[in-house]
Amino acid sequence: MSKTSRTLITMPKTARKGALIEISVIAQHDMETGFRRTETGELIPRDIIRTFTCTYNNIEVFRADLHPGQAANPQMTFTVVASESGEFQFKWVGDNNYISTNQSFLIVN
Amino acid sequence: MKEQLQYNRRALLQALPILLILPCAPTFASKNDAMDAMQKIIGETPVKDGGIYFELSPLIENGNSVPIKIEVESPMSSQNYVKAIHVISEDNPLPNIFSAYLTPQSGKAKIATRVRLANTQRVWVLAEMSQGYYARTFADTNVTLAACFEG
Repeated sequence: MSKTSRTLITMPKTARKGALIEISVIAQHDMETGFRRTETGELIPRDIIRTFTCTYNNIEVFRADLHPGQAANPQMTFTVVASESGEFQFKWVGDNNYISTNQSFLIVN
Repeated sequence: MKEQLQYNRRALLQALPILLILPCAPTFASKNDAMDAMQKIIGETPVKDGGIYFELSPLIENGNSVPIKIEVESPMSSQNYVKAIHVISEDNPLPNIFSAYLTPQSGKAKIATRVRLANTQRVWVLAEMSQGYYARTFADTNVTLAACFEG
């Protein structure tokens, strides 16, 4: 049974060919560090998102490794050159079978 | 009897710093851990200082969510581009914070994210260039409320 959560993508819908577009992504996740303790002193086990990948027409354009040092609800901003109309696929993979996917279309004219 | 007492007291005093340090020692990364983590990434590759714009506020009120911005000087062409950007902390429980892998399609080696900082410390940025070297820079910051253990 895999876990998932809400994700949000902020990017333009259209772009001129060759233009630089900025993509901002955020995933809802506690990013439990594995260093915190409960009131009774028990260690809360680590539960984080490990990797994020972004593909543009099935070609990987951005990938990130996340660690416990990443803030809760990890947010990332990166840039991509708009070369052709197509689909962006976003995927987050983490501990305890966490998988989230999202997609967005870009029209290049 | 007196000697015995002195010996015990001395032993206790000698052990005191170790007893005090021991509970927190394995949890915090030291400067050396950060250097080891960087060495692990770099390996035998040459390193040049500079060439990176690293935006990190000098005073942080809440270490649980610290915005950072990184921009590496690079034309991002198919021959000359930034392959990866690593963020490494000197005083977090784990030295590695974030690693991003870019391609020439990125157009610009510019990323932004939010991290946790456990303490007032120095944060390093390493950028792996396709031309076979690493660019490196750092920023110092003061953290008022520490992350990782609280909040």
